[in-house]
Amino acid sequence: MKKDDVLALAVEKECFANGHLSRRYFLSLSAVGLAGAALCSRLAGQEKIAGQKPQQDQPPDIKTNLDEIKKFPRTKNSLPGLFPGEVVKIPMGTTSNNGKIDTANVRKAVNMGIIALTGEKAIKAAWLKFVKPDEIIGIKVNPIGGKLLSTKPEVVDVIIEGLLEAGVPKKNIVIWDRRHFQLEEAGFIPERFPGIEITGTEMKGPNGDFYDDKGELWSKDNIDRDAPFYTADIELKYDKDIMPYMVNMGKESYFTKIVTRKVDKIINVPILKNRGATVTCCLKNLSYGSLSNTSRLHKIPDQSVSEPVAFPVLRDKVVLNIVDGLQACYDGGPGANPKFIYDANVMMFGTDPVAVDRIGHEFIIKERMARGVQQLEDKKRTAFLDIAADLGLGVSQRDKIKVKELALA
Amino acid sequence: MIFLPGLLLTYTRAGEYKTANGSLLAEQGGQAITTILPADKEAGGWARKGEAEHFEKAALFGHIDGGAEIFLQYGFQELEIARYTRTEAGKAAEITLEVYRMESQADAFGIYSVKRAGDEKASVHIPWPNWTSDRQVNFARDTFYVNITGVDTTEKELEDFAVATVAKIAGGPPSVPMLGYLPKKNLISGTERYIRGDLAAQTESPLFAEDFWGFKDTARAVSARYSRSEARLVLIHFGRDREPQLEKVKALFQEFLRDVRSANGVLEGRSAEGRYFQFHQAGRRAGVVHSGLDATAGRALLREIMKN
Repeated sequence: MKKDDVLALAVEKECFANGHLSRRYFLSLSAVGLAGAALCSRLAGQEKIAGQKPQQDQPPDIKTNLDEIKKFPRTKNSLPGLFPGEVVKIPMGTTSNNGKIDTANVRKAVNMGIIALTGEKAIKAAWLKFVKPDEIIGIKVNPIGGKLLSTKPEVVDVIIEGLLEAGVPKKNIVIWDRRHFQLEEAGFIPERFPGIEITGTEMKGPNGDFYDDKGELWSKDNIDRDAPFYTADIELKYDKDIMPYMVNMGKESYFTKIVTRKVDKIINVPILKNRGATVTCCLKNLSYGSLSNTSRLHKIPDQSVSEPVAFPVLRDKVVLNIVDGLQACYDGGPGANPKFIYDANVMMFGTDPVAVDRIGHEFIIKERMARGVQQLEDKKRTAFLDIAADLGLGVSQRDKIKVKELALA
Repeated sequence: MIFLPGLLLTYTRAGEYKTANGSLLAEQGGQAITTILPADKEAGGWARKGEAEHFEKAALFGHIDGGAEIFLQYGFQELEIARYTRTEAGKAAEITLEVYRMESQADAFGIYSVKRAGDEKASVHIPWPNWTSDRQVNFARDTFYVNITGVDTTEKELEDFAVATVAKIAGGPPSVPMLGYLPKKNLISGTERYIRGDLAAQTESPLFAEDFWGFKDTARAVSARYSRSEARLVLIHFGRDREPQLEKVKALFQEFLRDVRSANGVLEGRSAEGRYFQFHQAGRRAGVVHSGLDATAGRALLREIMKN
C-alpha cells in the first residue's frame, strides 16, 4: 500500500471516535447505498477519490448592504473625529502587576492622555472638547473576558471622574455592552458605580431567565428594528439556547436601542486582544458590541468589524477611544485564555478608531513576534482597517499616523 | 436491520449499531459529559458554586463569542462548565472547569494543541497530554478537551483538581494516528499540533491563511518543532486529489520571503529575519518547514517527512 493511502487512512481515522464509525458521519451520507459503499471502501483500506475535482479555492462572496451604508451623509460629528490620524500612546510601566492595578498611575495616564490629545491645559476643558453636560454619555466597555481580561473598572473610574469634572451629572452616564450578565462578571455593578446606569442589550428578566412566561426573549425589545440595520447574505439557525445571545435570526443585524435612542455620545474603551495574526480593539468593540445576530458575521470578519461603524448611530456618536491595554492577550484570542494574558501595560488615546487599531495591531504583532508565536507579518490581516478607511472612518496607513508617546512620570 | 452492500447492520439502541459479526459501531463520546464534573466537595473539598452551564454547537458563541469559531472547526459538540470555591485560612479561591466534547479524539488533541505555546510544563500526575501552571491546567482525554482556570489558586491546587477530574473520564489518551508520521529525532515534545480548519492553520503560520491549502475543506495537518534548527515541520494531507500547488506556493513565498528558488521540486525562501521556509508536494500530501534557522537541517526534515 502506498504511503499516500496509508496516510489517507490515518486522516480518515481522525473522523472516527475510537475507530468506530460515527453515527453522525454515517447518517450524513445522503443514501444508504453511499454509506455502505463508503464503509466497504474503508474496511478494504482503499480510498476512492477518482474523478473528484480539486476544491474551489475561493468561497462565494457574501454581500452586505455596503452600498446603502456609503450613502449616509457625513456630519461635523462624523468619525474620525477631532484628531484624525493621531494617537497618544503611554507605556504604563508596572501599573498592572499580574492584574493588580495601581490606580494612581491609571488616573495619571488617562488625564495625561486626554490633555496630550486635545492640547488643552486642564482636564475639564479637555473633556469638554468631546462632551456637553446635558448629553447622555455612553461608556462602551468590553466585559467578555470576565475577571480574566475585560475593561478595568479602574480605568472607567477615571473616565467618570473626567466627565463629572466637565459637568456631566452621574445620571447622564451609562456603562454599557451587549450582555448585561457579563458586565456584572467583569465588575460593573451598581455597588461599584453608584448612581451610574449599567445596561446591556441581552439580559435576563425579573424571573432570572432570558425568556418571559410567554416564551419570548426579554431582550427582543432592546434592538431597534425601526432604525437602519446591517445586512449580510449569510444566516445561521439558532436554537433556544443561543437565541438569548443573538436576539434574532435571519440576514439582519439590528443596532441596540442603547446607541439608537439612549446615548448621545460614545466613549469607546476596548481592550487589546489578538484575533489570529491581527488585533481586535476599537472597531470590533463598537460593531459587535452594538449589533444583534452576530455569530454568522464571524464568517466575514473584515467586513463585519468595520462596515457597521459607518452607520450614523456609531459614526456620528463615537467621540473618543481609550484603549485599556493594562492587560492584553497576544495569542488564543479573541477568547480570554489565561495562558496568553500578560501585563501589556500600555494605554492609547485617539478620536480615530482606525488609527488607534493600527497602532494596536502593531503592538500586538510585535509581542507575538518577540514570543515566537508568529514569524511573518501578513498584511492581509489588516484588511479590516483598509475597509474602514475607505468608508472614511479614519486613517489606516501607518506612515500617515502620528503617534505621540508620553512617559508616565 | 439495515442492509448495505456487503454489510448487515443491526440497530440495537439509540446511538449504537452492531455489525453481523458483533463488533460495535458506537456513537461518539459515549460518556455523559455531566459525569466528568466533580460533585460538591468531591475533589479536595472544592464546593460547587451555582448550576453548571451547558452549550451545544453554535451556542458556544454565546459563551466565548468569536473564540467559538476555532472550536467549531475542530468539531465541537458540547461544553459543560462548572464553578467551584474553597475558603482556607480566610482566603477564598475559585476554580472554573470547562469540559469540551469534540467530534473525535484527534479533534480533542487538536484544540488542546493549538491552545498552548509549546514551552509549558507537564504534570507527571496527569496523563498525557497536559500542561499546568498556577492559573490554568489543560489536558485532553478521549474525545474531551478540558480547561481548568483558577483565581487565587496555587499550581498544586489546580493540578490536584485536574487529577480528580481526569480520573472521572472513562476513555484513554486521545489517539492521533497522523502524529506518527512526524520524525521522532530532535522533535521537541509538547510542541506537536493536529491542525483542522483554517483558523488552526493560521495559528501555525500566516502562510496557511490562503484558501488553496484546503484547510477550510478536507485538508488536515500535523506539525511539531525540532530542536536542531528551531524549525517547525508541517505535514499536510489535502484529503483529496490536488493539482500541484507549487506555483501558488511560490507566489506566496515571493510575497513574504526573499531569495525564493526551487530545485528538485523543493521550494525555498528566507524571511527578512533570516528564517528558512521550504515546501514540497507529492500527490495528496505536502511538507512545509518554516521558521528554521538552518536551511540544510530544514531540507533534511523535509526529505524525511516526504520519503516513501
